[in-house]
Amino acid sequence: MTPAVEVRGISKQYRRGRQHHGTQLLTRALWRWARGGIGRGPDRAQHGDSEPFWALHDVSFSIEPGEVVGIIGRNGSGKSTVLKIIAQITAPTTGEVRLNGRAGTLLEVGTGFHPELSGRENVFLNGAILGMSRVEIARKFDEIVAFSGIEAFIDTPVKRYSSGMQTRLAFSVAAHLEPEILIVDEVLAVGDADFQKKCLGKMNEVSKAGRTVLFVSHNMSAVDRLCNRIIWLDRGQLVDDSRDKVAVTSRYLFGNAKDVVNGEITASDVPPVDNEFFTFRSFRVRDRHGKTIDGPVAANEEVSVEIGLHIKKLNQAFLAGYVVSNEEGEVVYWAQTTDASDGFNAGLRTGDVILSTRIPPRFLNQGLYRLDFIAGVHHLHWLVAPDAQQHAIFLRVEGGVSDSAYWLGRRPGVVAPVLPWQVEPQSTFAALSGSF
Amino acid sequence: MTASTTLRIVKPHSERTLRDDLASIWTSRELLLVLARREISVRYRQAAIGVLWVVLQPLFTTAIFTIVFVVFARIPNQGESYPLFAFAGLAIWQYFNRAVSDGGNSLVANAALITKVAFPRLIIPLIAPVAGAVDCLIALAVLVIMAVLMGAHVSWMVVLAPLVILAAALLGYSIALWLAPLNAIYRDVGIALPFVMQVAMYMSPIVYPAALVPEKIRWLYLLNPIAVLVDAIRWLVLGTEPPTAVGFTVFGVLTIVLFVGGRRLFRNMEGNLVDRI
Repeated sequence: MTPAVEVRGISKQYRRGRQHHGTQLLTRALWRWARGGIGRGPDRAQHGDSEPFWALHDVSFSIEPGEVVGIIGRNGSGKSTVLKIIAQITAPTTGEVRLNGRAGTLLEVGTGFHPELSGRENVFLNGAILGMSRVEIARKFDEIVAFSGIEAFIDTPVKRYSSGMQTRLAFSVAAHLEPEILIVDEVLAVGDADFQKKCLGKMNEVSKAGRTVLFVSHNMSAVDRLCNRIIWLDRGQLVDDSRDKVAVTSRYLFGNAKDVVNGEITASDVPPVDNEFFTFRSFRVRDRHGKTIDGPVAANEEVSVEIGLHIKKLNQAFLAGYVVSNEEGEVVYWAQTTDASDGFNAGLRTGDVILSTRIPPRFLNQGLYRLDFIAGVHHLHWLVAPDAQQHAIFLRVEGGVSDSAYWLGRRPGVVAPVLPWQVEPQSTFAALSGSF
Repeated sequence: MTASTTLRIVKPHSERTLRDDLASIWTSRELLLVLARREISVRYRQAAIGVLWVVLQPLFTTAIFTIVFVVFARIPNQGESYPLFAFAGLAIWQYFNRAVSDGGNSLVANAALITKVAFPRLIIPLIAPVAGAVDCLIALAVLVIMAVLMGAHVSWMVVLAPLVILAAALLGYSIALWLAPLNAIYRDVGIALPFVMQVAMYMSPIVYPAALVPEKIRWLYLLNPIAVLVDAIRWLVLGTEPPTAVGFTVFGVLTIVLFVGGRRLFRNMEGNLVDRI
């Protein structure tokens, strides 16, 4: 069978350096051109103030029709670049991609929506941008509008829509695109839970119809649920390409942490986080005597998670915390300073602080856990995103899962709480009413 | 859809031929029209008198220049009425100006599209000339009506006027192919452009007759492609002297050279644009 997507040795070179950001002076560029020839693609990198680096280096894979492939990798691993090349948004420096079938790209919902235009006009506009013909859109128009549920406002300018209405309309257009190859970026999966579900449901539907889906994500549980194959990129190179999802996921998240349990990182272990709010000092797990945990810990031991920061600037919406994931790549829970309603940040002062929280005994199951430090400003941006994967420590929980004689090892389930049970004699009345 | 008809090969832009490019513009003509329609409907959507602006803009400009040149400066009469002369020049100039200015700014203005969806980028600088053609045709219709009302003779050759619009579009597009990618990376291009266009306007016989220019440097005007456009539209609508053969040749050669060079530059730069815009 002809592969749906065939990626043949693609590489992509970028230039790191000043000219990467924003604008620069034309005169300086003209001078450089005068020396190097006008607009000579990648080898222009030889001159001037920027150094070349390969965002992708000789990546090849091929995808059969009907496969649902998740592309994973840390930030900067090149996964978005691969996606953009396959989606033909940016060109490879060398190599080529062969696409067998119409490719539909969803990197953003509502691309090209114009606020002054009505919903109707925007459906046609957005449809055309996504690659649908006018006839095709006209044929599906009623269906698109019905799916969005905003029939009443279809002739109102989109600027009067709520953002939810805009998203719904935009998503309906995208959902009615019928590409043979669907390329989806995870950005799509942000937004409210309802929308995410719709998104993932649609992707599922597309793959069931025998079409090919390429999904870039760092949400390992979404990848796990949706994909039947995982491609793992690191530093622009293909690390793994496998249908054994569990093995890849575990290797991706834990690497060789299985041998060395590292319960502490300090500023010297990680690149500095460029931001105005804090300087990262340390991230560690401690036992109840305050000792850094570097080996297995029993489930009935109390563990505290400590984040050491030097606060430079206070902000009400600032958050710090961590994400715990298990070996299957599932997120067990998130904890962040803004979880409670009491305005934790009000008590925050500039200078060195230790933010700590306790993992209650008998909560985590037996197994290896990965804790990722996160920080950000609510509603604005991440400073250390959950997928940054640089500030990771590990915790191995072994034994002590329960005092029961029946459970010695790992218990089924993600967490393993031991909840108190009570027994009360049932009154006749309650028994009667219960039976109705 | 069969596999063979939909096979697409994504390769480095530098390997794309002129043929590939022209074919890609042709296959995405529907999107081009949709984007041009968006441009048109957005432009006058919120304006109280809407599409009337298309007519009022050159009319007001003509009125101002008529006052300046005829009433104040008392330039010698060229045989045809100054308002018609100026309006014809301004109509085609404003069209050309828009093709170059909006076209030159088009990649920046459509950055959101470029970074999110794949379609031939070459159609982006084409949106302005396509959308502007409607305005220009309306302005020309007004010119014909004005000429008839003022009792001037209107030549049958007026039906060929759209060819001048096409010529202006091709030249404007060819220039925009240079400006658009440059402006995306060096924003000083966009800042300097309005000034350069203003200079270009006064260096061309748009609001004054070429006869006012000293004889010694008048040949320079024959080489000015904008002068060729302006002369051509006056010739077709008002029946004045046609542009010279030299003028046509210069125009044609210049347009081809600018297009070929601009397309090369555009192609070489577009691969990096997404990452730098």
